[in-house]
Amino acid sequence: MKPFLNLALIPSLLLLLLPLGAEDLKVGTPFPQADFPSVYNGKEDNLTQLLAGKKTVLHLFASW
Amino acid sequence: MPGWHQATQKYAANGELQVLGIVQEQHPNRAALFMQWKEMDWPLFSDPFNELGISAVPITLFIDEAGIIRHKNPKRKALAAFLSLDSSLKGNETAAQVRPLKRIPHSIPELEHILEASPNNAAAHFALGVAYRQRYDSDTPEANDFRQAVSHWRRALALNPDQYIWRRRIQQYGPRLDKPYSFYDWVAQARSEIIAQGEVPTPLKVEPSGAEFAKPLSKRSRKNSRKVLPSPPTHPDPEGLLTRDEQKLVTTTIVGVPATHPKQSARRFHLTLRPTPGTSWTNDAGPLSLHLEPNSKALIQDLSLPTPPNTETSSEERTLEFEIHPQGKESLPSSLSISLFYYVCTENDHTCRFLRQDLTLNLPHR
Repeated sequence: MKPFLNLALIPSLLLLLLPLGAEDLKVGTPFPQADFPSVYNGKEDNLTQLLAGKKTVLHLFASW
Repeated sequence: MPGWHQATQKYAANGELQVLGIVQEQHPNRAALFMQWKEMDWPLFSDPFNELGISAVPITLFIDEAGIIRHKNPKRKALAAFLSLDSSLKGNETAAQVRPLKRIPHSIPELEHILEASPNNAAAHFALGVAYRQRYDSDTPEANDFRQAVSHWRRALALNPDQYIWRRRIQQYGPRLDKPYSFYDWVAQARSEIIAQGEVPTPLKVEPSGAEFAKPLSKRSRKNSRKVLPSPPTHPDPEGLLTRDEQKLVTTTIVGVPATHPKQSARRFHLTLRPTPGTSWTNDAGPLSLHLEPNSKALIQDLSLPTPPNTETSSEERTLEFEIHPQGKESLPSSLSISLFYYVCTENDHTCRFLRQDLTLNLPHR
C-alpha cells in the first residue's frame, strides 16, 4: 500500500505554509545588500559596505 | 534595546564591534527622539516600506565581518562567544555571496502599476499604503490619501494575516480595543527628560496624535463600561431645525480605521475639517461639537476635539478623532449619521453663524 503522503514532498509543502513576504534573514546567510536612508539625515548608506570587515550587532526595531 | 546598548557599549567604544539599527516605522524620525532619550548613539536607518520583509520586531542579529548572519535573537550572554568568533570567510568570498534585496518601489504610480498587474501582491499593497500615508503627512496631501493608506494596509493584512509589522501599522490609527499598547505615549516623557538634561529634543516631522497616544481598552474595562452606559451629551438640535452648512463653508474628510481583529466591531474615525477660503472659525462663540442622532444604537467614545487657538477667529484645519462602539451587545448598523455643530464667520458678508453639518459614517460588516 502506498503511503498517504510522499515524505519527500514535506519540505515543499512546508514552504507553501510560509506566509507571503516572509523575511529572508536566516542564520548562515549574508545579510541582504541594500541601501537604507539614515534616520538622522536621510542620506542613504549601503549596509553591505558598512558590515564589511566589522563584527556587527544589528537591531531591527520600532520605537513604539 | 537599552539593555543591549548597555551590553555592547564598551565593545563598540573600543572598536571590537559596531552597533547598527533599522527601524520599521511609518515615521522613522520618531525613533531618533527615542535614541536621544535612551542615549543610544549608533547609526540608525529606516525601512518604513518593510522591504526587509520581516513580520515582527524586535529582531537582533549578530553579523560577522563577512556580512554573514551568525545569530538571530541571541541572548546577551552569547555576545562574548560572538566577539571571539574567527570568521573563516574573507572579503572576496563575501562579494561572491552578496544577495541583493528585492526592492519595492516607493512611488504611488509605480506601486499602482505593480498592483494592476498583480492585484494580490500583499507587499505592494502595504508599500502603497505607506506611500499614501507619507503623502498625507507631506506638504502636498491629497484628499483621499489617508483613506487609501488604510484601505491598502487592510488589503495587505487580509492577504497575509501573520504580518505583525503591517498589523501594527493599522492598529497605530485604529480603535483602542485593538491596540496591544499605546504606540507613542513615551514621547512626552522623553521630551521632558531630555529637556531636564539641558538638551533640545529631536524635533518630530509629524507629531503623533489621538490614536497614536491612546492606551488600549482592555476587554474588562469594555465589559464594565457596558454595565454603566454613559449618557450621551445633550444633542443641540434634536429636532433638526438648525441651518445646515449647505454651502459647505467647512469641508470634511473622514477616514474610518477598523479593528484588525474580526470580532471587534469598534471603529476609530479621523475627521478633518477645513474652512473654505474666506471662512473662519469663531473661537469666542463656542467650541465645535459632534453628536450621534438621538436614540442612536451606537456610542461615541474617546472623542478628542482640537483646542482652538487663543484668538477670536482662526481658519486652521482641525482634526477630530473618535471611536464608534456598539451599545451593549447590539451590533453596529452598516452606516450611522453624525452631526457636527460649529460657529463660523464669512468674510464676504461679515456674517457669523452656528451651523450644522450631517455626515454618514460607513461601517461595512466584514
